[in-house]
Amino acid sequence: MITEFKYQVGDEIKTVTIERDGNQFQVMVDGRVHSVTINQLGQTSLNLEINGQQQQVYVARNGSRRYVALAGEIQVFERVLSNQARRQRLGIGSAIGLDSLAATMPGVVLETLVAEGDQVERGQTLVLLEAMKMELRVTAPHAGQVRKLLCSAGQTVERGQILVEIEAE
Amino acid sequence: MFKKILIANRGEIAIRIIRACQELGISSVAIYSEADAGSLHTLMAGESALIGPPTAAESYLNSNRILEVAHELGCDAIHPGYGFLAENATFAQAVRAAGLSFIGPSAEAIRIMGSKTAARTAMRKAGVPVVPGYQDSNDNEALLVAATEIGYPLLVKAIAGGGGKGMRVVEMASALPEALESARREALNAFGDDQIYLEKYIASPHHIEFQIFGDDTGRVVHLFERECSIQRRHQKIIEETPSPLLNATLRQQMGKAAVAAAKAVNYANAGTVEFLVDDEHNFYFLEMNTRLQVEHPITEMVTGLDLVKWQIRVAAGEPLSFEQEGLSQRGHAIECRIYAEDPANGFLPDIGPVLQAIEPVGPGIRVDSGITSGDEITMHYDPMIAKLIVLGENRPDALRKMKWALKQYIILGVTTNIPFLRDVTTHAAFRRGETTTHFVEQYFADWQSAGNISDTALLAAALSEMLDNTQTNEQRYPEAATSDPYSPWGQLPKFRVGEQIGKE
Repeated sequence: MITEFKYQVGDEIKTVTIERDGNQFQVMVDGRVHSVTINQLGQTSLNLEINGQQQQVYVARNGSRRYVALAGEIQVFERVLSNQARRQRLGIGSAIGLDSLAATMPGVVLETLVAEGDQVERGQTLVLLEAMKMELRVTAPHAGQVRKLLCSAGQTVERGQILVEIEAE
Repeated sequence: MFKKILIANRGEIAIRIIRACQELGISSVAIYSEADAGSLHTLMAGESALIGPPTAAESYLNSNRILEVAHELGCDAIHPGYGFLAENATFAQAVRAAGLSFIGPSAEAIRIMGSKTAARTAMRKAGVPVVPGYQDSNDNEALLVAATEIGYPLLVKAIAGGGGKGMRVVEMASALPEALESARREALNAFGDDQIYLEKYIASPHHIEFQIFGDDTGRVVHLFERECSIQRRHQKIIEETPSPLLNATLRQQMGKAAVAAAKAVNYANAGTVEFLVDDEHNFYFLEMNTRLQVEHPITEMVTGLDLVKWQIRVAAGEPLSFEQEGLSQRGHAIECRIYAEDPANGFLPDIGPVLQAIEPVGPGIRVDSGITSGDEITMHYDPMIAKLIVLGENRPDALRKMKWALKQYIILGVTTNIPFLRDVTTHAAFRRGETTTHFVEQYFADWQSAGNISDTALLAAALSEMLDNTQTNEQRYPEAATSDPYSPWGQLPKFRVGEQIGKE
């Protein structure tokens, strides 16, 4: 029996297929075949023998996100269900030159330093945020015009919430 | 000796103090905010008490409520840890006025050292060298004139400051007014005090501090230095002792100055005197921290002393049992601070669930952690979640051990600085001991994590999902197969920890 899994790595979709033969697994990743034995399986840990080399791997999941610890590196990617993969291939690209600047962490807006329609320089501070007792600056990634200012002083914002949209000249 | 100590803190330091209480046979009381309900420190203490909402001002900084709890639960002493109320003279005074012991120095010593300007004045008087600067006025005109005299670049610092908050490096006169304003704003937010002062900027400085310890008999000793030059955003991330920079003569001179600094304010209990050392081995008093330091474990590792137990003993009136002549440094200790943050993205803190936390263990390895698997890192408090400390025979041995231990330290679910710490501690310049406070910006400004996703990672994720899917209850417990959705047999776990697969 062959089982297939898809993961999103950056913009790419990687396909992993597994063929099980007792304690042996033939695993194909993007066309490369690996011969794998599972020495030990714990709730979040796997001791694998891959092409003859032993490796201790830790795996955790949160929603569609996958975390893998391997030789001191943490690798993070997303599980994609097959209908999702199709949708993502079609893709809804963002308008060229328009940048949405989001809060990188939850916090409170201390001050907005620009207004809609303002011309801004690259690196110019647009919004001051306070989060975890620190002052964070949201700066322009390039020169352009402020299209939308979507926050105001005193407002509490979530991580990922769009604060400013600027359009390159 | 005390019967019951309330620990007015959270996270790893609360746990560190609870351990010391347990070793000494003293009962412990943990306090917690609503955001920390069920967290590790509350579970470890003998008793725990909710003190308020997540906001620090309403919980860990709420001195009235903390004193109330201490009374209700019959505590006879309070240990403040570091941060929060640790360097709050008013709190120290209130604790003692309430008839309890404050495990720390006198309110007077906290007050003098808490004001950077008062500390500078006291140190000058005691003959301890201080960084040239200006602290006579907060008037912008006067500051601009003084700045020209000191010369650029210079530092704007908050009088009540700490942890780099309210601090600005100013490169030229035209940038000073804006720096003054933003430093004042940040200082007001962080400390409720917007007063600032100016200090000469020491090029490529080393940040070296001395642990001191005093008792009620007036004896003060130093427990040698800690090299704390590796910093990001003006906060330490890696500390070690001995410092690669110091030789025996400089160590002795600085140790003497540190003891003089402590004696100048009649210091009792644990404290730290911070110095800046330039390339020519000139050293200047920077500030004194009137509390236990985050990085105290490296001193414990090389001296063999338990600083927290000594804090408790000294606060209970016991004299120190050791003298300066009997103290020495044995081996080399390094500490890495584990932060939930992304070094590749401006060291921004990360929050979220800790899906898995696995700590390294082995000879000479110590982990002081405040979290465990299943915990949630919230936005409410400092993002430092643990400290990894190693003791080696010498510096190269300690570096090898740290590299090994960082590799074994697994935290999944939140982004941590562990890969960054590994790259810093294995960097050629760090290995040569060339550590200045500019180290991170000099060598690691554009650091990125390896980032590439390996076949092994993908296949491990897929295998783990497949085995999770295939090991349904039906296959594992065929005798329990049932179509009844309410049957308890349908609730059986899918995994057994450590089980061998496919060998039946």
